[in-house]
Amino acid sequence: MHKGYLCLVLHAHLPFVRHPEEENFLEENWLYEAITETYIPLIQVFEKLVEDHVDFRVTMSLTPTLASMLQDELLQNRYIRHINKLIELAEKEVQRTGYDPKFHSLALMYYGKFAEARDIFVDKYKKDLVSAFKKFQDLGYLEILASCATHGFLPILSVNPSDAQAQVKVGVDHYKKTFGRDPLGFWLPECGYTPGVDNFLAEAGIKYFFVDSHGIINADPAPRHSVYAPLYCPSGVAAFGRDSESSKQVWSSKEGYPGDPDYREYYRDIGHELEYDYIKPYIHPIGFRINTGLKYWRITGDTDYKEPYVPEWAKEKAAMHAGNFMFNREKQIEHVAYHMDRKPMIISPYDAELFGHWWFEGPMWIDFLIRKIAYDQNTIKLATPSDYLKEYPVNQLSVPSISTWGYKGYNEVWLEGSNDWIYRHLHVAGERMQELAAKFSNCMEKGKNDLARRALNQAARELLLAQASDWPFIMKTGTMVEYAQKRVKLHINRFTHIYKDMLAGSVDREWLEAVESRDNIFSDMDCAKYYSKTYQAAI
Amino acid sequence: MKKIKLKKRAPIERVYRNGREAIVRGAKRKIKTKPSLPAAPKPLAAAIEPSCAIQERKSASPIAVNEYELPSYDTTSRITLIPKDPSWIYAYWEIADSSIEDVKRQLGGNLDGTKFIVRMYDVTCKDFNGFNANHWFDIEVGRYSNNWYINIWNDNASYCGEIGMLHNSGRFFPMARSNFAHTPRSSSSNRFEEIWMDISHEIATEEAGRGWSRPSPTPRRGEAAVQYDAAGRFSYSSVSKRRKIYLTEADLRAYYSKLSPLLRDMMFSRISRKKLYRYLYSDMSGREWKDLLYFRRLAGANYGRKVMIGASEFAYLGGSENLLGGASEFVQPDKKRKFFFEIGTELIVYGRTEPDAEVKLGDKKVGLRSDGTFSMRFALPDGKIPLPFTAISGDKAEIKKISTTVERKTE
Repeated sequence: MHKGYLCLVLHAHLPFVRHPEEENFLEENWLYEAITETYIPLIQVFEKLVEDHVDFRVTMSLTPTLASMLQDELLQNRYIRHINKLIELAEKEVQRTGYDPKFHSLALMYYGKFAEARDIFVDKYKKDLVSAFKKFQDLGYLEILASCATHGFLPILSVNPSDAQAQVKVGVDHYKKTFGRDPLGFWLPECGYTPGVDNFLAEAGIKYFFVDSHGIINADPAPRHSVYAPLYCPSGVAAFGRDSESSKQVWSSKEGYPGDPDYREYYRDIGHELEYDYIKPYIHPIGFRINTGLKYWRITGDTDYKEPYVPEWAKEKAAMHAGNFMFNREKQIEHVAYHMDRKPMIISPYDAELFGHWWFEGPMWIDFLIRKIAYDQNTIKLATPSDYLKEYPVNQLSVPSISTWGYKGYNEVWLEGSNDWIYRHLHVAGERMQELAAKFSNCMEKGKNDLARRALNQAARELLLAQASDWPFIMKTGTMVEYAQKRVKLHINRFTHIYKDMLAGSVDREWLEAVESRDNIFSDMDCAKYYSKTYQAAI
Repeated sequence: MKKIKLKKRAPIERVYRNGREAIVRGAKRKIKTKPSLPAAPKPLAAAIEPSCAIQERKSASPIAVNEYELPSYDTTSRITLIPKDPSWIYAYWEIADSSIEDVKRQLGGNLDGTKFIVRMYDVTCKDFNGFNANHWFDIEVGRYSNNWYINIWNDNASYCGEIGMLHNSGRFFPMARSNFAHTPRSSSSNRFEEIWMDISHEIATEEAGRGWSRPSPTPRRGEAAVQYDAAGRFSYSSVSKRRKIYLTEADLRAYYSKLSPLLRDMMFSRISRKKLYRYLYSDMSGREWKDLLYFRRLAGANYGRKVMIGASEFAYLGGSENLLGGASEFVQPDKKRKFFFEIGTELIVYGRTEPDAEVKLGDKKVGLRSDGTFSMRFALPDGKIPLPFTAISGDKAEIKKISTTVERKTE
């Protein structure tokens, strides 16, 4: 009989990056790389587990921005172009390395992976990977979480409650439309929680969400069971706390598994290494070198000297690390269960893109872990938070502490010298959106004034896009800063354009249509109504 | 001392400009409306007549969609506080020229001896009305600064700020008042009483239409987690009978209003929803205490350093901060490395024959261009590479062979 539960949470998210105005847009590669390296390998792992009748429960988010991009026709077709190009490069590499046994097998491996990825994308799922994840949810293996519309950082956005509320409700409605059911759980972007946020979740019918460890540990009153059992917020929504021990084993770049010498080195890519004229068709058309995804070296050690990657060694290590992870969770559960009147649950959330993109062997590790948990032990069992609440509907009532999963645990990552300037604009735009929604409330119904309704909805979309937590995060980390700055400025500018037009009483149709075709996220949702009085925040 | 100053202040009149609360000095005494938390609701909606008279406008050509200019908002004074961590609050503000004019008028047209300040009120556990702060302090800011990081000396506190001008005489002329900002706790709570809540009714009523039921290959877990007494109240096994108190929603509200006015307001919205929750209150003793202490020790061991600001270890505990994670990590990082030097060698073999001929390298066919030329490119590791080429004429009548060997040697 098992003594406790492990809840594996994969948070899959990318910001909305879609540039129809340019044929090749560098930042769109984030999506294409993640499809090839993370989403498709995960789908393959799940496929195989289902095929082998392995029982498993995994909790996963697929944010509205990511799901929208995965379902966008332009991006789907561009991905096919991207993967075709990669296959062509891999073919050339197979030939080029013909006399170099160390790399020839690796070139063949990549060729095989890319060809499989194309088959899965084009033939199996007809370009719609969201349908793959939906399938696993409908089969009862995945529990997909809802999330904010555009990954808005709620602790700061909730200065205007209407902004936080719209982020939650647009996200939940998008989920219902995408997955054909009501969401039970919610992923708070960056685990950013502040009391009151749970009220919006409760209103949207959400049953649980996740906070970082100190959100639970510092809750008031003190939690009886630490992070090993959920707390109910006063709103009745359950908060599950991240377990830091299991997180560290996977996350940490120093002590964590992904830093093992046998694993593939991320930083050595043929896009940066091969002779310029040869690689030129596969890097950015302007000519600067970028990662291609073909990487031939293993981490080797903390040195610039690298040795060729050996897939068999890496696989062996992934199996070993999965075993080690499981063993540690068993010990942890045994230890904690003695002090509890119920079975403990360990919450292990990770960014999904860690697996495959950064940690090449990550999907394999998940596969080994799930199989080992199913067959090699009886102490822990995989479960989702809703499974847990169903078994234990009685939990302690307390108020989780303000917290995020960012550096130092609070708002600092998203609020510091490099990015604090954006909030002035976000907050004013949020108020102005409310003003528009109030002033033009009777334009929002279909058929009244179509142009005005479209302008209002587009204003709401621009506001939502400006609010993504990705922009301040990128500004803080210091790479591609200019792009993030431009995105915030662009959406604030477009929003203000519509705001001024509406107040002046006239809308420029051609301009509006051009903007609609670019920022087409949530194009079939009436986003403005989420800001109207009938949606007035409760706090 | 400070509080006395506060009492001397002339009454304040609240006006709403452009949806934002602004404060002006009123000449006559007025009874203020009670502000609600966290921010005063914006009375915009009531004031505005909904309309829908939007015309279509001809566009200027060419259409400019990619504009990056940011708007300015300096026609209205405003201030906003955002908590950054347990000991810092970020404040940003706008000062409108008209607000300065207002002050100037009140001072008889002379601004000598005034300075711009942000006044920070500690309103922890207060229903702030402008006069009942626990304490307050001022920060001098320049006319042209518009944001500040403010150090707060205790965590878990509520603050409200005002931007305004302070005169030498001690008179303060506020121009705008902020939202209420609450800083996070930096340590665990000392409140140990327990309230338990049961949502099983809700699960039961909602189960059919939602994801609660899983078409699972495993049998449903059969453990009955909740028992009910004769009165239909749930009981929670580890709480002894003696210490059980069943709570109503009103009890809960009273409890939370002690914690903070913010939470009290949140409870109001809960009650209006009439969910089927049940509550149970208990104190702890004996075994429960022991377990609690165990978890507190555990928390200390695992998280102690983590929740402290500036702990280096925490740097890689946070998901987004981690080297491995977050969307922006898809950006190609500029990996800093020391002086390095690498060489690679590649081999290009090229040749030509009749366009309809067939060329083979070993037993593999080589693709010819339409003019009969071909070229191949190979990585060239150390060692000998044999290149046995064969050409067969289009009519299969003639065969020519060229074998060559290339050697690379790195010393």
